[in-house]
Amino acid sequence: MKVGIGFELNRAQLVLLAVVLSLLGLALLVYLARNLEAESVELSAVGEGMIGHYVEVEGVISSASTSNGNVFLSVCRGECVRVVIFKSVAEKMKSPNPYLLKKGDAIVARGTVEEYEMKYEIVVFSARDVGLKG
Amino acid sequence: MIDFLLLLLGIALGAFAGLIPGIHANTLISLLANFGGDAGSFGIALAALAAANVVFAFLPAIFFCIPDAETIVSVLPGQRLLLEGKGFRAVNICVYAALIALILSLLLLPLSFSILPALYALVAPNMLLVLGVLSLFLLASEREPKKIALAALVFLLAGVLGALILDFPLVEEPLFPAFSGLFAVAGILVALGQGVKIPIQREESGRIGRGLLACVFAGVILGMLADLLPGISSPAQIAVFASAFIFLDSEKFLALCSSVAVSHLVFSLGAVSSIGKARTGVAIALGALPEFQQNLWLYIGATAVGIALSAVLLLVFARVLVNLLKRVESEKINLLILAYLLAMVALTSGANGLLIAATAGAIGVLPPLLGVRRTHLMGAILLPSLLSRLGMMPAIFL
Repeated sequence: MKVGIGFELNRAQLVLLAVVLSLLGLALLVYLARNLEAESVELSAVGEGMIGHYVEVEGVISSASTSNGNVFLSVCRGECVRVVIFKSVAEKMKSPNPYLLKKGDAIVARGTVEEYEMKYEIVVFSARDVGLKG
Repeated sequence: MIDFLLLLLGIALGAFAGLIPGIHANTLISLLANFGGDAGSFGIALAALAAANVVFAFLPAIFFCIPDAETIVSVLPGQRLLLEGKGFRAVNICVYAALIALILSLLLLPLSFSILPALYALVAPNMLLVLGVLSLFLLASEREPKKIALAALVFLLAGVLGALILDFPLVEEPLFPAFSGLFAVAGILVALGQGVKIPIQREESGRIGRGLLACVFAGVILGMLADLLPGISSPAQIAVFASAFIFLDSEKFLALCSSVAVSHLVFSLGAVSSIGKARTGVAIALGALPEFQQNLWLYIGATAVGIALSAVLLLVFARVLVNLLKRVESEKINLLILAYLLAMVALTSGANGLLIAATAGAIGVLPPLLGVRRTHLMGAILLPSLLSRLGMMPAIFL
């Protein structure tokens, strides 16, 4: 198979090239994923236009519950938005312990805005992305 | 009168979104909101937009190997028929399947209101098992151990890519750069390298046999069940699931994909009403409108008219396209599409999108080079669902 201009690669060399480029691309994507910058927004701004955005919000927990190791927080500051910490992330979090978060705690949370059952929520995907305020 | 005009506007916007890769139907929904009218009128336009989008998206998938989430697996059989000079027949099959599927879906819709809730309760707790079995079937379909191992490599690479883009907000619409890379960019690179040329397309549509009708019926049932399966909810995944169990040639596969896409759209409206689950953009938007339950049949009617009108229009567009393709060299078309795709990815997803498309392109060339089926690239959707259900996402990358 001819590649580019003026040289040819055989099938094995092409496979090797494709695998190396794939791995390189995936490694770069992992690096980018681990170093994402969150966009600071008010809870009232979390809506249709923010779906897929990585945001940082602040507020006070009005209710906290767990189910099958997953943590669900209702965080309010004027408006209320559900913050979801799935088990795989929650188990890696040390401080604060997400299972001990309670009503009245002021927190800062980062995560992706998603829509679930016609409601907007913030899904935390890193153990570093929830912290206590003050 | 205003409702009819909004319906036509919805079809025009849906056709535009379906024909122009990179324009997502959801982004056009906000445009419709500016035309005023009550919720019912807006809903009619919305339903027509989604219907036209589903039907028209088959054209770029078949002729340019550019899929969206609905048509992703129709790219492969579509391309095979195109290279045999049967591109027009491929479109004809999609139109035929879409129209029959529409009629069958409307007939079965009242039944779905009572059986979907019961089936949902049965299937939902076993999704991990369903996904695992599907993945194993896909790989095992290669039969020889060496090929299974190579297919597993492709599945894994595509799966890691899928997990990264679906679980991390690297770009807003990750599927466009990923699918473009895995299928279109990779397909064009292989075609350019091997000097593959698109032959002159025969304009006859050929006979539509009874075998296709059976596939359409199967597609309608699978489309009805699509909203029950949270992990494999897109029509593309459902079609792949079916192909792991039944051997389908290119034409039957296309008929299945087309009918799954159409019936999924129709039943998704019913699913919002009966089980409160919405997995299509339009179902979510319509479900959120006031008086959705009262207007449900109005929206289903608009969807039906949208699909029927779009199917007829698609045949006209396909004929125009076939005539255009006759006049331009394959290599030039391929380079033009490649440039367009990369420009659209850069415009909609920036540098991260280009990185995703490039990585996906490198993964996408592997199946033809390794001699395994490109269906294994569906690992991009299956593996993230599996990892997520195993509670491993996204922590596995952090």
